Amino acid sequence: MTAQQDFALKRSQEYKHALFVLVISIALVLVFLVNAFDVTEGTWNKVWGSLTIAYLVIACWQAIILFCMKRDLLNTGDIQKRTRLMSAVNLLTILVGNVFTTTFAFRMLRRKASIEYTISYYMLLTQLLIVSVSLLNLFKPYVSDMFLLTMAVFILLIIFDVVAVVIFGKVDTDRQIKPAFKWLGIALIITGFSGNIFGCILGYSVLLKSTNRDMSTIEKWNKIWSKITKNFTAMLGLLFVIFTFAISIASYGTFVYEFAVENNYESMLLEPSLANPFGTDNFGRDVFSRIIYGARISLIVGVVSTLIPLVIGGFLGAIAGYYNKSIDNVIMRILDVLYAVPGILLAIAIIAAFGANTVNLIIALSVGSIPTYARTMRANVMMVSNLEFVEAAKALGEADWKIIFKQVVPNSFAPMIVKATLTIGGAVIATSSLSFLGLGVEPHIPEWGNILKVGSMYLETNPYLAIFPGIAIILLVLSFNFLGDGLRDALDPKLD
Amino acid sequence: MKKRLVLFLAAVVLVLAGCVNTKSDVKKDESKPSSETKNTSIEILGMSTGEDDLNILRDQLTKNGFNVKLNIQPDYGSFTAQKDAGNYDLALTGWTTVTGNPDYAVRSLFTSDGDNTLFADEEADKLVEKASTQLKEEYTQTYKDLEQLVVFDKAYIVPLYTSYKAQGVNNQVIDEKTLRLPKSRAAVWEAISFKDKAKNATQPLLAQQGISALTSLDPIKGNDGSINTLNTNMYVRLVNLTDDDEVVSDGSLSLNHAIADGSKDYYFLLRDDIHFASVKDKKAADSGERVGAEDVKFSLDRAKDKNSVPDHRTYSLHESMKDISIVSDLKELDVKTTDGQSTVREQLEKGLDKKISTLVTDKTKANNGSGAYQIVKVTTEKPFPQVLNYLAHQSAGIVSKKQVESINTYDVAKYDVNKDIAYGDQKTITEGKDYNNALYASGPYILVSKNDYEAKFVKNPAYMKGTEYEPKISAITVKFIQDPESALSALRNGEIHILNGVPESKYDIVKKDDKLTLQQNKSNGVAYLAFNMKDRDVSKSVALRQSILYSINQEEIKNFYQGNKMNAVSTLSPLVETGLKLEADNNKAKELLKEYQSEK
Amino acid sequence: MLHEHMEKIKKSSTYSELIHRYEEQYRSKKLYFNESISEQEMQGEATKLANERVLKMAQAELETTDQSNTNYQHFFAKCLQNRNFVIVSFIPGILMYLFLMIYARPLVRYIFERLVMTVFVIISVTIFVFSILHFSPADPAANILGESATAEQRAEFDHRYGLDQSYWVQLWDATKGILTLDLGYSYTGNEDVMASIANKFPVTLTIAFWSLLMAIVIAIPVGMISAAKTNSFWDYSFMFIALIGLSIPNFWQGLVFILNFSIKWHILPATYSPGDWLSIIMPVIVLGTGLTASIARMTRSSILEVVNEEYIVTAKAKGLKPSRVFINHALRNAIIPIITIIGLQFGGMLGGAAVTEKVFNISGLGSYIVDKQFVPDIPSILGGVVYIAITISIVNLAVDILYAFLNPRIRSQMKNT
Repeated sequence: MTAQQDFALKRSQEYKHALFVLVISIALVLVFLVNAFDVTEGTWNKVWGSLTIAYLVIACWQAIILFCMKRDLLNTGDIQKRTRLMSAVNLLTILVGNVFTTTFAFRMLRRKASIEYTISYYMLLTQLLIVSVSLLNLFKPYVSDMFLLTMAVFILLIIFDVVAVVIFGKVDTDRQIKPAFKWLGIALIITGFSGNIFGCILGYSVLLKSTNRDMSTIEKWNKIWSKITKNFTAMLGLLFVIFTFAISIASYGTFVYEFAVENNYESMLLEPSLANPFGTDNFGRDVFSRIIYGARISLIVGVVSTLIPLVIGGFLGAIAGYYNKSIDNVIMRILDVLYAVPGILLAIAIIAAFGANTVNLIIALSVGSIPTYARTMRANVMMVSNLEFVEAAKALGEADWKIIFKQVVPNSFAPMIVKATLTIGGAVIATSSLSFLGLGVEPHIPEWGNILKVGSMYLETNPYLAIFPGIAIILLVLSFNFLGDGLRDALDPKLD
Repeated sequence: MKKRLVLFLAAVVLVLAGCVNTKSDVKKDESKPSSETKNTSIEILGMSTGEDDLNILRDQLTKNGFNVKLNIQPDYGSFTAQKDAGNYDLALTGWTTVTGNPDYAVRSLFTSDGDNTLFADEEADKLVEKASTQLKEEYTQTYKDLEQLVVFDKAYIVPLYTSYKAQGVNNQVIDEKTLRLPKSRAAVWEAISFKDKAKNATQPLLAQQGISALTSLDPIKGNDGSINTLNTNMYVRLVNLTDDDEVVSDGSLSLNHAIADGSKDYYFLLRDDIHFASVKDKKAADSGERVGAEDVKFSLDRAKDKNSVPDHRTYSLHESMKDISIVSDLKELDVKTTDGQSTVREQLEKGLDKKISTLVTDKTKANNGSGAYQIVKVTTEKPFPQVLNYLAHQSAGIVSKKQVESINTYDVAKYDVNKDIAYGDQKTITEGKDYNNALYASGPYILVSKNDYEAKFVKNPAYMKGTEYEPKISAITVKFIQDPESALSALRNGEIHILNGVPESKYDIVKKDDKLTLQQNKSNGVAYLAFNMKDRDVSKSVALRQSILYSINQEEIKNFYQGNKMNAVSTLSPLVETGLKLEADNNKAKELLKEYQSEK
Repeated sequence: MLHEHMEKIKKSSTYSELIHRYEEQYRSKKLYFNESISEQEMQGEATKLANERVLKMAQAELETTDQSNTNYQHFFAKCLQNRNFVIVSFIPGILMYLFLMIYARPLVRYIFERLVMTVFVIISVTIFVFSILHFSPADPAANILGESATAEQRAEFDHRYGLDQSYWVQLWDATKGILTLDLGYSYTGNEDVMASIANKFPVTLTIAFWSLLMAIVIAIPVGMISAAKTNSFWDYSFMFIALIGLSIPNFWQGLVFILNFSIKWHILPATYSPGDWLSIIMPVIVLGTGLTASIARMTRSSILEVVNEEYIVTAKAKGLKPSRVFINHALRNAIIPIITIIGLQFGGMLGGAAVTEKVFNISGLGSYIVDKQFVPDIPSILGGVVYIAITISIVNLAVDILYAFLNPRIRSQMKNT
């Protein structure tokens, strides 16, 4: 292998993506296999078994594609059209829910990467996932009154999304595009209000490029988003976050709240089935519905209790770090008081003193993390304030607040984003920990911590009760972290 | 062709859509209570330990047309604070009759001047008083009338269930036949033996307890889960309760006891083979001091006197006693007993090898072998046969007069927690600089020392030596494991031998484990809902209360606990068979609710 | 005095001699430059110089006669030469000496200021926590005395522990208690709070310490490998595992561990017992997982950030060995954010210990505070929280000092202020 060939392999993001997809697919095959085979009884489970076979086939096909890609890259330095078409077969894998291969297949179908195309197929995928998850309600005794209407709207949205994927697959949207596209952009933004934020992002991008004449704005937008869209883990994270958000909105129309909260003493602790995909808990409530409804609270608590300290702490930290001496001292000493009490203990104190509800929970979790944001911000601002461009701005006689918010803060913000993404997950975990200590939201309200707490009591006898909500929490936190890493790579000014 | 396909698809979709049941299709026939009138709001107060129950109640009441708001407090303190503030319509509470007698189950709750009075009702007061003077055969009807009044006619409380007691035992280590699970009294340590009897002398028994902060090792200063088991095994009492709550003298300080006619005088014939044990160099030593009538008189006098110690937490149990005396005159025993046939003396002498020849007032002179006995007489204010149950309670444990008086030298009124050291104070037996174990135990075991993780007990070397009540195992270690789940894990992993209080949802796990045996017995614990009887809608309207009463379905609750709960009608249910039963009736509940709403 | 001496000298012959000498000097100077000699100017100049000279002489004379002009400077300069004086001066001047000693060195001054701030923080935490507890609706008397307590018993209890006094009196007592290290006795069980805390804190600290050690030992090498081989298979795997470690709720992980390691496989004990080192393994791993993941991620990202800096490029261009560049330059500079994250996470770990301690039945300070919170047992919670606050403040102090040692930029900034 010559150095040039080696470089071709290393440079190819698509090759890397293909490898990642293969590894994940094989891992999933193994997970399904473990579930399919009951060691103690020596029997095979049909559902898990067929999933195993399907995923095994997909993994094999992915391996073949990977082999072809490698050959193409080594021989010609570029991926051939035939290989790209081969991966089109993998579009079908959405039928068994393998989003990894599906996204890869979509990516391969367009020779040149395009932001709009990438976002549009993620948008389509999100919509497909929402519809398929919602369709599971058909196995329930009854569905909500709004169900048929909502589903009809969703199916129309899917058709619209397919059209969008086809258009953006063909049109070159790198630079400015025809003004006529702005109507498409507006339509996309409207679809985004269904919770599918990909629509909003895509719509904004199209509007920007079709109406804006300022090339630098477009350049900036392109630069950030091409980095994010090329980063498949970040996109998968974004996919799950947006899916969670969208399904929480869709659940207003497609899910029945009674299944999640009303006790049913005839169907307690049932195994997973089509009617109850994640089984039922000790009160006979459908765990699947509970997790779907729980996403709402978990997302709100996670995001809001991160935003509040991010804004307050970031602001205080920036001021403290920029003005040293007295202002710094006053702010940081006051924050030290908060900081000296560990966040979870502070939250316990606040909740135990003033009662457990969502607002108190958010306040309790926010207050505790203000100082950490302030410290991170301050440390970075202190470092950045010593850099030449700030000195230069000072020398030019710029106003202090202008220097802080135009020079210092943007250049110290990347670590804050990493921190924020870590703490969104941390807040979700802290909520569940508080539930574990009996200080969470009311127990019948579906919230992931509550569900996990109930489930953990049945960890041994009915493990699925603890495993599914556990996985939901882990996936959400993982997604935010993936997304955060992607955002950092995209926004970090130092990597320019 | 294309057009046809579209038409066909549209037709299929329509047919499919027709097949789907929507919520309103299914729920159409069910009457919606909310459509008729505005929902009645009910606020239920509870603790987080009762979360499951609260959830079921919320569900059942919601289904019967109530708008339920839960107020869940993390602990008993904030729960009581909320209760005192009156921020509730219904409070989920429990009552455990630790003494095993019905009077304790009703007196403090259902009388107007009870310690924990729920309501004021003259008729109920009369019934409680009447029953307390009656013997077992007569009081069943009185208590039935009381239940009918309190639960059904006036609906002051809503009964939920009676619990079981469950105990997990490691049957590989412990001889499970020797392990009792009494209904009311705490564990009987002296009876337990290892399967391999040789280990009794060498190995400690590993038991478990949730609470590690011990209220006090002075029996009258506590009545809670932290010390009930420990003090029961450290101090002997005049009488004991059997596994079914019968009052007996077996294994107690008395050889026999008798009730004189009129049910006001109670006689106890004391045994002479128990000495106080003390701790020397972290080992139990025989103090040489006999447990005698003087100690009994001292112990019971201080038990009923509110001002005998600071933080006296049990005097309300013993207030019925008027006088405790040491009998010196044998003639006094020639009165008839309650059955009208035999005399007190005859009953006291039943089964004795050596009949009573003399009575001594000095405990050092007692000698059962030669017929020199001590007798204690307890006199109550009113006829009150159930005083025996209170005497079987751990708070009536016998302490050493000499030792307690030598330690409690402070002035009770000026007691300062930070300076004065009271008998049985936890810090005196906690490992560390304040350690100064001055306990004198009259029971089978004595506490040597404790830390955050365990308390170490050793056998009293002079406790009924040579009898069947002599402690079998020479040392017992009580591990403090707070969380029941962790405790169960520890039991399964062999870190403890006995776990008292296996949660209902874990019965199956214990049963499935070959190493473990699950022992079950009925308990005296009843869970109920108490109405707020002050200035609330529920306090004024009987119809509303009854509507709530009939909304509660005990069968569903039992279902939830996988059948591991029993029906209850009142706190009396585990003690007295009254024959009453509460049946849920949704229609009746809705009618009563309508009646209430039309009243308004 | 000085004036007198001057008059005396002026009257003596020395003065006229002096004038004469200066006149001579003036004359020869003018001659040398070939300038005309003005008599008047000459006399004026000579008198002026002579007067100056006289002044100096008079001063010298005064000094020799020990009646020199006494000012503070002279006086103290002399006193300071006296050994006894220096020793005695320490009695009234100890604070001043300390002040001077501290302010002479910027680093010491920095540490001193931080110490003062720490005391301030501790007092503020006391007030803050006490106020939260005081205004909570919970009632300790009702909780401790139990179901059968009468109102009278509760009132007596409140009186005994001073709970019937006003907020300010109670606050003052609490603050005083913290400062005099006498925290009184707990409401439940009447334990000495200081003794309880002294009993419980070591366990928490031990577990936290081992978790921290485990985190550092595992995370930093992992982070370095990931950073050195960016985008490799190992990089992705490590970072993926780290992310999963961050995403698992502590108690859930603990329960899964107990289920597998204790109940199914009987390898490790399910509950903690002192003296059994096997029983500490699971709590340490559970508590340390999140920290390990954070440190590994931070190590990787900060090394990657540093690797692009100019000095690394320079070092590479100079032809230094890649491994040396990596460890000497990249890691040394990347260590600052790593220390920050360790400092930040340590406090969180002491709080998070509460949940872990609950799962493994450890009577540590974390679970102690949580238990007492429900009562609320004010002296116990106050004591527990303040001790944690002191620990965290000391850790913060150490982090800040390390900062100052490690980062030349901040060090220079400190000297300038």
